[in-house]
Amino acid sequence: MKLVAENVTKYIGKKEILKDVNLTMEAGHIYGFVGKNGSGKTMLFRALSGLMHISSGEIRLDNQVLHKDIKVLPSLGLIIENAGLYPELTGLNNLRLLAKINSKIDDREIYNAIRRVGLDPDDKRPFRKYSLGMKQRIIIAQAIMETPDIIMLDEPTNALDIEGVDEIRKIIMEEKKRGALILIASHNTDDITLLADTVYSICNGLIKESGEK
Amino acid sequence: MRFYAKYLIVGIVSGILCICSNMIRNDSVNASQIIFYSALGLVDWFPAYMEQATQFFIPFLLFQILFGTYIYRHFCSAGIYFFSRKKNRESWFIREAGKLYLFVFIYICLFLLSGIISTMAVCHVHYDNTALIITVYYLLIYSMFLFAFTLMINIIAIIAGSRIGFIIAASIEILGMGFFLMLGKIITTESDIAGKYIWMLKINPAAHLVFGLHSSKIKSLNKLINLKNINFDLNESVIYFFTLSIIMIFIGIFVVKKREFIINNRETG
Repeated sequence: MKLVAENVTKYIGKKEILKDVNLTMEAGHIYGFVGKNGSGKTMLFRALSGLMHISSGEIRLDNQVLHKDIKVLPSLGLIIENAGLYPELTGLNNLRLLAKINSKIDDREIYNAIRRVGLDPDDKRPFRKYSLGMKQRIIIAQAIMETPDIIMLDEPTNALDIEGVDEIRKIIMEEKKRGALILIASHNTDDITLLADTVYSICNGLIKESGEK
Repeated sequence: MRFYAKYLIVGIVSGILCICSNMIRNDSVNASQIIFYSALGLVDWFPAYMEQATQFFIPFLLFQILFGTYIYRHFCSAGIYFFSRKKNRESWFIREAGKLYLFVFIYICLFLLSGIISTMAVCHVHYDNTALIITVYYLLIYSMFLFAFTLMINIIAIIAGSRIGFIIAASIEILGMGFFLMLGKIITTESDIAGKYIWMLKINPAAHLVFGLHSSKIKSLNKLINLKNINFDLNESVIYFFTLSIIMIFIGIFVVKKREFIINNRETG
């Protein structure tokens, strides 16, 4: 499986937020994206996931063109920085609602995903009452619960304590071993240097490869 | 859906407060008259009727407040995770609009039913043949009106946020009702309103809700509702709100299809 971005450009109004992005990413690899806040990391993930239309260029999953042959990536686990879940639902019910969309998994797998990120699936509190760290963990659970082929993680270790960061890094490595294509955006260089096979730096929407392990 | 089902209780309480409280002074009343009264039957085109019109409008505004985010909530905080999984937003929107109509229909049924049942507890209610016909018209016209405007709030909210959505839809309704209630003052010759200025009624959504302005080809119904001797068939109002509902659904499909997730949540930034 290959995810390719070819000459991808995105304008919002007159501002060019992604500039001629060219990427080729393969399954079983972790691609790290580093850059300051506002550099375009999140916008790149929004474009690659199909949540945002691009102004020019093409995004392909194998031979299928995004927004032409497919509307969204068919097997995607996604985290976007600061995007929450349904505030009035419990963590479990949030994941149930999201899992119901494609009906790929049952309750047992949802429970497993929640336990895997160190939370209690039977916690009756609504999402809005979760601590920041718990919110981040349950969002990671929704991203991995369907064992997706592609996982995009925007600042995955935000709001987590040291123990939590280690747990999540371990999960990311397990997902890589399973064969998932993983993209991580972070301003935490430790996450990127420890996890990523290939590192790209982003500055003002312009992407440069800055290293490979 | 379960989360929203509890809001239907507002329909029951509103029905008791709006319908029963107004019928309590009668010893006996026909069922058709209760529904005619609930359908703003005795509201005329003068400002003096504002209180009565407002009283029956509030339950619908409450529904719009509660369900104005029914579809839009999916575009808020969790929208990114919801729509990154949704392959076909258009068919999803049509299904959600269908569920919203179901809520509207149940809400209006509960409003009417609770009003009639509570009225039965305080005065004698006669069932007459016209009751069924006027109930069918009431359910059709009011459900499609409430559906179209609640959907409008949801659609505008997707584009510009829930506050703007509610302000725009409520403004259209309030201005429509306000303009209707001023009509008798602006055009002093009543026969002109019924005659050459009837288009002012026919384009105004609020006027379509006032059964006392309408006529019907069904004789018994016409006798009950046609107080002004105007040629304004109830079927026209059914078609008016049906068309409005269909237009809203098509606009909604277009908006949902084109919506980009550039910011996480329009409500919080």
